[in-house]
Amino acid sequence: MKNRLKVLRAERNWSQAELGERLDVSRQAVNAVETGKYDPSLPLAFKMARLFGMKIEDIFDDGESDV
Amino acid sequence: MFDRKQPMPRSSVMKVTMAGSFVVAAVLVLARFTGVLPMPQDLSPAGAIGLCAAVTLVLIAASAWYLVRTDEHDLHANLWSMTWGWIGGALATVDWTILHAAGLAPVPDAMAILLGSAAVMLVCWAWLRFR
Repeated sequence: MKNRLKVLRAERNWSQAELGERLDVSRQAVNAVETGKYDPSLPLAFKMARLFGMKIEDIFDDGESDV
Repeated sequence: MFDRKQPMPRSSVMKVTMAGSFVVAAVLVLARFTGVLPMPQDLSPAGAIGLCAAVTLVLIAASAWYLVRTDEHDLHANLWSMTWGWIGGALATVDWTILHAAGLAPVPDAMAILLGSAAVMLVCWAWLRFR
């Protein structure tokens, strides 16, 4: 699944470790989500969306077009 | 008791896990190399049963505690590595037993299979966790 996490993080000048601390996950978890190797759970996706003040669908793109 | 919505901070989980691992390692080293602690073969029957009960309880409690409190990415890596470790152990047991029955291998060694299974788990976990 594609996502804008890396861009959003860079806009705030946060390192992966800093973002991990804010989300209470490891730096490796942030890296895995950013590179698309791991899709976060719904609770973690909501946490990310709240942190960036956005909707989940504004951060993540599953590649499916809206009906 | 275990609530993923209110997890212990990751740094605390890691500190407790590292401290626990260090204590276990220290006890094993003491038992193996100093003779301060008795080895399993030196235990009385009651002592052996007590040690088995203690190991069982501690391993289950520590595993449950860690798996509930670590983050979901590490949990994902743990669950997949345990799955592949079990499959590896099952395959090794079946194949080794068949080869032994055909006279092509010695009697299956439970400890070797257990350690091999643990090695598969470790490699799988590390790959999923740090790739």
